[in-house]
Amino acid sequence: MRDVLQVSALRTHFFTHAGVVKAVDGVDFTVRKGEVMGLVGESGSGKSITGFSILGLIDPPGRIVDGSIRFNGAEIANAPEPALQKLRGNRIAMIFQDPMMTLNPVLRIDTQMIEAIQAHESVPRQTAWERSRDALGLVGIPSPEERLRAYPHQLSGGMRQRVAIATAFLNRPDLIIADEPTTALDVTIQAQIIHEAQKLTRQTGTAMIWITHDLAVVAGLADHISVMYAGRIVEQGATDDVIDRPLHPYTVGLLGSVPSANKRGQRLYQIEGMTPNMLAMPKGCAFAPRCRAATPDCQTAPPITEVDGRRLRCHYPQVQGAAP
Amino acid sequence: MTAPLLEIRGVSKRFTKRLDVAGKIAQHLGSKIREETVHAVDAVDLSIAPGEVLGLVGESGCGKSTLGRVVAGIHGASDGQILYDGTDIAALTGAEKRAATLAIQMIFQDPFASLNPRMRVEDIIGEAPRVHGLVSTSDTSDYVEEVMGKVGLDPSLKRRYPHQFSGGQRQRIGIARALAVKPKFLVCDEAIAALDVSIQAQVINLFMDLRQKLGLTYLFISHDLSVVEHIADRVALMYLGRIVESAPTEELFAAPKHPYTKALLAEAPRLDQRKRDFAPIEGEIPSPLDPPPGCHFNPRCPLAREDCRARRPMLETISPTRAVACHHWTET
Amino acid sequence: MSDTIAPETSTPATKVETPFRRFASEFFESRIATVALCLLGLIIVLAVLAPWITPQNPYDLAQVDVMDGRLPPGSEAFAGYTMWLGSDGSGRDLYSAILYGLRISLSVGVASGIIALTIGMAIGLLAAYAGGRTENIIMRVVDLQLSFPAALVALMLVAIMGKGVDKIILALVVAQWAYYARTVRGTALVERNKEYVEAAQCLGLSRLRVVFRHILPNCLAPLIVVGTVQTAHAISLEATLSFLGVGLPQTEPSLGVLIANGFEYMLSGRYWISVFPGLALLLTVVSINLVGDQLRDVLNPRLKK
Repeated sequence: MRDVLQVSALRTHFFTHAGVVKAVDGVDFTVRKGEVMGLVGESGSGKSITGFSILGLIDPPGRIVDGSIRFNGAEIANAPEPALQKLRGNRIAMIFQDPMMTLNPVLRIDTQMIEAIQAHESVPRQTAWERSRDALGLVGIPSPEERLRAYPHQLSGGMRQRVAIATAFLNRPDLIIADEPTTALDVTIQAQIIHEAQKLTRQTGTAMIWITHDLAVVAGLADHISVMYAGRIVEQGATDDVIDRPLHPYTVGLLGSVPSANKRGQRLYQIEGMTPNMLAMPKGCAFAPRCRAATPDCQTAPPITEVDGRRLRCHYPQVQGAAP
Repeated sequence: MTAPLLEIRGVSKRFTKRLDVAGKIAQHLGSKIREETVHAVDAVDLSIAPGEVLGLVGESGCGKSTLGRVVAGIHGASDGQILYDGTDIAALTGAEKRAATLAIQMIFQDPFASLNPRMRVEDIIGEAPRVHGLVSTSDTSDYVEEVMGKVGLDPSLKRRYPHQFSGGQRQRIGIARALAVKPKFLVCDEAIAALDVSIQAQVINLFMDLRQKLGLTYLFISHDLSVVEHIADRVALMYLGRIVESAPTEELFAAPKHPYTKALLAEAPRLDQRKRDFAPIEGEIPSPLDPPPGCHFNPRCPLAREDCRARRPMLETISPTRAVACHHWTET
Repeated sequence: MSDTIAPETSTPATKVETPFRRFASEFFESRIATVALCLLGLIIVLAVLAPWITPQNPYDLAQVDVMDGRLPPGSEAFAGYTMWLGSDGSGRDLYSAILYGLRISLSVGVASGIIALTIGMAIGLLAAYAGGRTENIIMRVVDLQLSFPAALVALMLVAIMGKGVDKIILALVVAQWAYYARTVRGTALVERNKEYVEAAQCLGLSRLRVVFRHILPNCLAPLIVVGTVQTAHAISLEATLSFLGVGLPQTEPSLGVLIANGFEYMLSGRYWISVFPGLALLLTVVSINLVGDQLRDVLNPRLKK
């Protein structure tokens, strides 16, 4: 299938007064049409900055210092703002954890959605209104005509997130970047939102990057998973491979520490230590100080290796059975 | 069965938003403004045996945190009693009251807001035991180090301020603060929800170790079923202020009875489910300001009938260990 | 249980970073605030040292010679020294008069600020602590007080009580305590609902202890910000009153009195008599306000990156 997005050797650094924060430090991945990629990482791993970099939304003191982002074959890393504006909301859309990031609290839903269509396409108001109504219907909002007349604050959190998703899909984008869109929602509402997103990607062939800290969510949703740690992707592969046969010690540890994978009442597998300080990154492999398999070799940065169609940054991939 | 360490008897908590002067005038002029009452907790009965871990699960707005705060003595109950070791805490006075207050401690969700940013760690942990005379002023420093060691914190960091610690370490400070007054019962309110996945495992392990070492009893409040499944002996589910089902953990996860429990179990994302088709239950959680009549779950329930809208189902005991509040649980 | 819980590795920090150190490093990030703070420091030092670094004591009538009246900047005084900033209508050396005036203006501003802060803080805490009817009554009084312009309140009080340093301080306190009370009560209400206060409740700490040891220290940051801005406000308010002739007496000229004295000469081209004291007042108030703005930026957690 066609590649929608190719990111290679992406580096986004923040030049703060305290030093350089290498938030994204050499990230490569490809997303194909109709595919969902789960971008998994803990806080400070650079997963959200990766999403913002693709959209060209990095503000000073941060900037993309290196690498390429090719969207439908065209380079968009450090592209001029007008070109990016044409893409954003039209060909690439974003869904945030807080839907109020995209919804304007003082405008009615219909005004905002019609505006989103007319900003990129000259269609009559009536057509735009009908498309908005249909989009709301598609994400499972009951009586969409009525909801279109509402203001964002009149809707519940789950409803708002649905409106944000409907807005994201309005212009049939090629790529949607969803940054923790269900983290703030309850379990039953989360399931509904994932369901709608999944349905829409299947219907429209839109590719999606689903950024999350929750492996269990992407296990049920994504085709591919990229695991980020301290600004780098440490393991990347098909969902089944990564979840069932993790190779990187960090992925092994993350999966091991999820309670449902453990026996009830026993101690959970735990990764020792804490995420490194972004200003004082360990030399070589950033995970080495917390890694049980680390040796002095890990003082040098591991190269990217390919193992059974999987890309990996580790000197000592965890062979099956050796895992805890 | 042993006598419960803590018993919650018919506890309700209502929050009323009173009208101010402007509101009263508006009401006189015919505005629809009225005093709003939220039944955050609605006649809940629960009992927790010594050494037991009771998981209290529910979605946002279901009243689980409010119930936890009532148990911990932060909110007073509007109705009902909290019995600690067989006596009503509200009826106690003086030293007995203090002993009961200290015996029940709470661990909070937010590792940032739950520590006083202007106090050093040694004061955060050492203040209460010193004030209550559990340790003398001269021994406080050693005592703080001992408690810090128990929760896996480096005692040499005791002169630092909370902002110099990571989220996981801050949560350990909060746990140390509670442990410093030698409690018997811990209310953990979403105590790991704000932490990173790898740190969550560390803190869950800490809770389990402390349970063994110190013989603690827990009310473990969480929205995360997998965490509760791992740590709890028994689980109670709350929906809009009421307990809808309670059962031993294994039985509940193997054979849920209440339709809401079933829906929650089916929809929680799990590692072992791949490329699944999410088929969620419909509808939103109703506003606690205006809950549906009868069974609160009826607008979303596949089994709902006329009687569900008319009558509140009471929590009925269906086996020696299980209880469910549903008119039609036999059909599930 | 040999498998003990491993401590997380500590953050690499050589010295204990106290909140104050962190605050100071953030404060000096702004160049303009640093300059303002230095300027303010200089003004304060000059005012304090005035008796030792000025050629004349403008309060000592024996040292003031009417023959020196209205001399332009740079003229030589009868007593032999150079009046770099000229002299005023009654022959005071303006450089000396300004420094002495600064002493009075600053001490009136700071004294009224500290007293108003203490009273306002106590009342605001009482409101937040008591709640219910007490809180309602206190806050309505505060609203009432705030609905009058501070200058008007001070003007009325001074008109009733008469001139004098003590009276003007009292007037400024009455005009300003409500700002502090409102600030403290607002912050205290926010802090009261934080989890660390709930934790203190769980630990069985007394209410007084919770209010004074836990809530109050966390209310100080906004209070300091309001205090700085209000002190600048008090200084200009005092200058306003003195300018209008109801503030400090002619014998103890504050900056406002100096400006007022020079005002009549403005049209005759003797600009310096009003302009130099005016500049001194402007620099003082602006530098305090700039420091206050930076304090607000640094101390307000909502503006933190």
